[in-house]
Amino acid sequence: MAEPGDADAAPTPEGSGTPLVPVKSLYDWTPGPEVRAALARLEATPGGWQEGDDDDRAG
Amino acid sequence: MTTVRVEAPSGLQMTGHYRTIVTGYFREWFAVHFSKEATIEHPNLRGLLWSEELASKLLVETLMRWHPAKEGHRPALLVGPGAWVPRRLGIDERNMNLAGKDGAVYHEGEVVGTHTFFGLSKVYQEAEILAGEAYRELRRFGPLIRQELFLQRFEVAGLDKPFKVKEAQDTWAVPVTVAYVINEAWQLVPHTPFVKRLGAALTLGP
Repeated sequence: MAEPGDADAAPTPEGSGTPLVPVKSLYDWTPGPEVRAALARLEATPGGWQEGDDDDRAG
Repeated sequence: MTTVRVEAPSGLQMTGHYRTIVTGYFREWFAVHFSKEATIEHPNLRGLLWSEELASKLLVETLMRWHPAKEGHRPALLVGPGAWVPRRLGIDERNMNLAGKDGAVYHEGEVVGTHTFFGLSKVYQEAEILAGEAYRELRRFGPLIRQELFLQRFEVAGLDKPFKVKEAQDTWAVPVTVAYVINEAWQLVPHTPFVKRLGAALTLGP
């Protein structure tokens, strides 16, 4: 069990006792904005890769 | 660098791509990876070997088969399926380059799919290292995974921010998301030649 001050302890706003770390359901979880942007780039690139192509082909 | 070889799933050759087959493939991949110390890269994870035994120190499972009440105390790597979204490649999804003399119409499209791997542990650093191990494995073996799953494309979309798990108290989760593109091609073959159908329509018409 992590104690306050440990690297593993979730930081809390002073006096509130409420963790700043988000609590999420694994079943409802969705990627954050950076990963969503990477996914959007992939979705906007039709044709996929063929064997031997390089990464710039579709861009 | 580890070398793990997973046999290509025969289900793909028999049925084509189903999401559950891809999920099972990833689960099997990491079950093999975490079953031997020699294939685990991070030294802190070498004591966390996976086995089929209930006493296994590490759980490698699909998200749907995870029981937080029974298994939430163990560190885990969970495989969760994401959305599969079809993408059109052309008008009516037709492949104009192929035309059958028998009247067959060839179609082609793509599916963009995702899977997410969650490194879980009561200890934050352990969840991070588990997810990091999965990230490195997927990055390095991406070309092989693409080949074995017959994918057009395979990418690690990213290692996401940590959070605490609602379903398991005091458990950290660190997600790694992969994205891939599957080609779908099919043909529609008429039961009777076009001219024969035309004749029937003329006969039966008013």
